[in-house]
Amino acid sequence: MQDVSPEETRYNGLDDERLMQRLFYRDLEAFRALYNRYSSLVYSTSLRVVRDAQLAEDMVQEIFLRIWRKPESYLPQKGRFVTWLTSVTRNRAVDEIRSRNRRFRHETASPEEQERELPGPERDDPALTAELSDQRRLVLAALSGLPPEQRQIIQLAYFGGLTQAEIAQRLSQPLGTVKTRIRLGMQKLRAALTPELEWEQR
Amino acid sequence: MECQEVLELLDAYALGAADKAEADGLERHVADCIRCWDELNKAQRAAALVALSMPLSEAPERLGRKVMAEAQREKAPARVGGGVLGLRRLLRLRWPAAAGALGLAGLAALAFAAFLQVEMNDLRDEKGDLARQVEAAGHQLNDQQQILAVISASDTKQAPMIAVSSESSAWGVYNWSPGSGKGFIVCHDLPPLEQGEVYQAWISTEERPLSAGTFVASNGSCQYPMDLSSVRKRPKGIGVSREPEGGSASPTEKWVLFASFENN
Repeated sequence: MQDVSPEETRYNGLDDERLMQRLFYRDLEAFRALYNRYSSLVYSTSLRVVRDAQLAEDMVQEIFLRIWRKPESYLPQKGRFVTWLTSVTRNRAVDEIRSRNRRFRHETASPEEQERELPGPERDDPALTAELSDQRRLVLAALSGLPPEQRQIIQLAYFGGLTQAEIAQRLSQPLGTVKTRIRLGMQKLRAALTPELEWEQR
Repeated sequence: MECQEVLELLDAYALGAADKAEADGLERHVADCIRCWDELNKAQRAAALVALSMPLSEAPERLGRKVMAEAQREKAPARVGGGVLGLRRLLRLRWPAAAGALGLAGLAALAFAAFLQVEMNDLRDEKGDLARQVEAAGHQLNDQQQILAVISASDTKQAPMIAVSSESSAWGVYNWSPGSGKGFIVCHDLPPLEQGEVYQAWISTEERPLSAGTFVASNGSCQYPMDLSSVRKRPKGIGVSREPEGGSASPTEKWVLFASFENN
């Protein structure tokens, strides 16, 4: 992948929505800029969920080529591009592990592993825009502020692709406890992320 | 499912942790309840941000090359699931079993359902096409607005764009506003492109030229907006070259047109 610094092309100065608009013109440079900006996020999310580097690569290819072929699948009025992209990635990855689980037992990370993988804010990707790095710091701070048992369940659900009942079984906790922890954790998360979520609605 | 039940479930649903029966019930409810739909949207946006807490690993470099090569290879957007496919699938999967069970009225109803299916798929395709056209029109409008802004700026400058090859009759003008850094190329009599070629605009600097995107000319003429506001080094000029579709990292051939800033 060609490494392009911010001053090297005007595309890096364009926001995601503007780059997506240019895909309607089959503008490969705009696509390259989006790929450079988000491939590590899509790859890491896929890898975290499917835990198989080759499969994660296949998913990155599939997701980006889907964007290239059908830019109209993203509707700007429904929210920001990055939110849409992470949802598409996560859902696609979870579908993949669920279909694999039906075929053979696939091990998701243990709760301890999921917990360990919460990174420090210093581990950042230089390709991310300053805005995205800020968002990342905000989300990390919000998640770190949750009680560990709530954070663990949110991560098991989101990255592990487990249902509430499956989480209850795995953690040997009553289903009611799991449900309450998800609700409380997400309420706190939403409160901590209010500025971000309000920005989304503009 | 009632509102209270939905509100208690929507965080789990947004995280993808609701089981199928719960998810079905919630989806049926929010289809008719704007308040719960709104709450669900908020929960889904918060859940999507959880992905940003990931430790990031860089995707392998060869993957980037593969994805870009594949994108470059594909010219037209692929269309998925046309009306005919929908009809075939309906006939293949549902017709034999249903025919045995239903009388003539049932068959007529099924035929009508098949017809509706085809219509629905066609409408869906048309909706996609229209959305594409609206987006493209919106983008053209933005370009035109930028061109108008440059023309009407108080500090507008012009530099002639000259064909580098003596055999070429191409000519043009680069118009720009030094204040905003924005400008646009107007060009005429560009040589026709071969199959799989595009024109690429460049900002020439002290170091190497910076790509400013690709375009195709209509009957040899173009109007192409440029933005030099993020270029920190002083540009030496604006160039246009012929490149393979998708553009190149640096110009492969000599300039088709070039405007020098030396005298500005």
